[in-house]
Amino acid sequence: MNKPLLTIEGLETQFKTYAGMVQAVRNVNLTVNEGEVLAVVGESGSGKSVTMMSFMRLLAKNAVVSGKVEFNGVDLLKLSNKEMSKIRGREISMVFQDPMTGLNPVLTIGTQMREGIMLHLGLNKAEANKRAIELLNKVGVPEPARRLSQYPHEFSGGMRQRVMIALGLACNPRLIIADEPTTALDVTIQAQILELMKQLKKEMNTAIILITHNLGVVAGMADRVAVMYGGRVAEVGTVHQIFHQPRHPYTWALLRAIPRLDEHKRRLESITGSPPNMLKPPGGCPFHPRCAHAMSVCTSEAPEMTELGNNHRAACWLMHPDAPKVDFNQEVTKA
Amino acid sequence: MARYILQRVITMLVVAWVVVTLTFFMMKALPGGPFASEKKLPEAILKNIERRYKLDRPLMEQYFDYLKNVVKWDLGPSFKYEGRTVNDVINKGFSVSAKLGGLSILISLVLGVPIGVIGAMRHNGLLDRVTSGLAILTAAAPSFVIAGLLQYYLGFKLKWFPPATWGTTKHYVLPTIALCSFSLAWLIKLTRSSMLEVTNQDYVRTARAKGIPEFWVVYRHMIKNALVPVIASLAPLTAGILVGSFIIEFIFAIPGVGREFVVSITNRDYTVTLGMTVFYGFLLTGFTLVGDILTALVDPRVRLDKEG
Ligand SMILES: Nc1ncnc2c1ncn2[C@@H]1O[C@H](COP(=O)(O)OP(=O)(O)O)[C@@H](O)[C@H]1O
Ligand SMILES: [Mg+2]
Repeated sequence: MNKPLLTIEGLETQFKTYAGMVQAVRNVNLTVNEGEVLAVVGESGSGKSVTMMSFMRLLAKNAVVSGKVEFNGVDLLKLSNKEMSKIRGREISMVFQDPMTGLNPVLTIGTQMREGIMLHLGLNKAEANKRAIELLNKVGVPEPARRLSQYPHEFSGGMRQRVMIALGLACNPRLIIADEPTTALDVTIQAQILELMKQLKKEMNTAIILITHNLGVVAGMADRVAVMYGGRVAEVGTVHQIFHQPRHPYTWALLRAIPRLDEHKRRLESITGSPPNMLKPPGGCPFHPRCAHAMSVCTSEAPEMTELGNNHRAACWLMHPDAPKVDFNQEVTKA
Repeated sequence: MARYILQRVITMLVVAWVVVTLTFFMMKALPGGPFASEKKLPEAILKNIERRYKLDRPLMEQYFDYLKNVVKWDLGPSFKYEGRTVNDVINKGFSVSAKLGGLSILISLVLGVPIGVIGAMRHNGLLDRVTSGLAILTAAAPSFVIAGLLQYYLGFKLKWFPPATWGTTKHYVLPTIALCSFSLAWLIKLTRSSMLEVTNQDYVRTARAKGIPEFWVVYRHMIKNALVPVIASLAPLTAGILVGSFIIEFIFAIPGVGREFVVSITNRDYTVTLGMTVFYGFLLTGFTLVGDILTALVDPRVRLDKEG
């Protein structure tokens, strides 16, 4: 369980644009262990998707990626395109956010499901069909045999996302990256899809990186959580650590933003201010312009990751021995 | 699919009827009859002629007669040339025009689509820059300018090809180049931008994430999608070629329908002008129909009889 499957070390991703270099990902370090669910949370624009797309090598040509990403002992950033395409879909698969645009509108679901299966598993068309039917069955698409000859527009949003998940499962990958797999769906279908993923994870023991900005989802599914902000990891730890001993002010802000049934009187608080412009990220800690605890050091120097015990880490100057002590319990429940 | 085609066919028949009706009444509304030439004809003779061509009947009767004949594909006699019918004029010119126009459409498609695709794949590469430049040039220069230049330099000066008239294979070269230049440039531009747009689509990323080799990503996932707007442009493309052929046939003195059409207008040969407008209208509706059916074949979202 605790054997690392994916290790991201010092990942940096920039985009060359006419406006300048966009610093989308800055020195990200993360580990995913075999069979575990790592949730990655943070407001949109914090670099979650770009981090994943960087080592999947799915970014456009204007992206400059550096660092080291070891999967199963090999550095993905050093592989040839051909070697990489043997890992994509086979060892690591992705489930994207928008099921409405993620499937090819002019190809049948069958064609789209078969191609990866035939390619990676070396099956013929009939065998691939059987496998596709099996997969659709597993993700709860009714009448799978008939559905295979249909086109994406004949499916509802929820059904399409099931198909996307089936595509992700197709070759029994060791890691599935699910990038906000339920954001585009309505709440009941969201719950169904998440339940499905939980159950599949239990059955197949696949590791999952689950990108979401729904902390409720995190609590229900994840083993560990990484909080990202401004292209950096702000805090990482187990679900228990992040929810019950959060140490980074940004994590506090995220937790404050969760609606709670037991506290009717408290207004749902969204985080004040807006995420940084990654063309010109603020110096020092990226969160300091929005942070109630910002000190002068925060504006000039980026905080290092501090180990807090049991692999709980946070990048914040408040962790420094000389910093004032702040009670996180109070911070999270503050009105 | 069958229901979709049937529906399109019915729509096109309605469009064809509207074309016939509109042209008929517009022609009738024009001032000056077909026999109003400089020489004033004596009243009696004019009456006689009008009776002969049934021009003395009430308008609606003339209209229904005409409609009935169009259904039988009989477009009536020419007013200017004794013994020639409009059908004769069209039949005679059409084989020539069809060759010229068909060749131009074929060349535009066969060259334009692959060049557009390659241009998009090698975005800002040498081929892309060269063809984009040429495309802008040909799109900006009207075909009669290109025709004139070709005629003068390759025809009169260098004598590589006959500068005008029709006959041998060599006669095809200059008018075909002049006629297809615009549509070729247009298709290259359309295919290229359509491919570039498809490149950024989520489903292309999905395909890559599946580990599909790049060739299949382009071939299976991108081109088919990129072709949807290209196929949909088939009808306007042929319309462009048809209109272009009026001018090109005139400049190169090619005995096609396009030239007859232009001549009929200057001759005030009303039945020929009317008949040819109807003919062109039908041709275009036909191409629109073919384009619609092809679009439906490529893009399942267009078909109406979906299940569920
Ligand atoms: N192709 C691109 N070109 C330039 N900037 C990009 C590109 N893709 C993403 N970015 C920028 O990178 C940053 C991180 O984006 P992303 O990883 O998509 O955020 P999220 O956490 O919402 O997934 C954003 O500021 C975004 O604007
Ligand atoms: Mg994202």
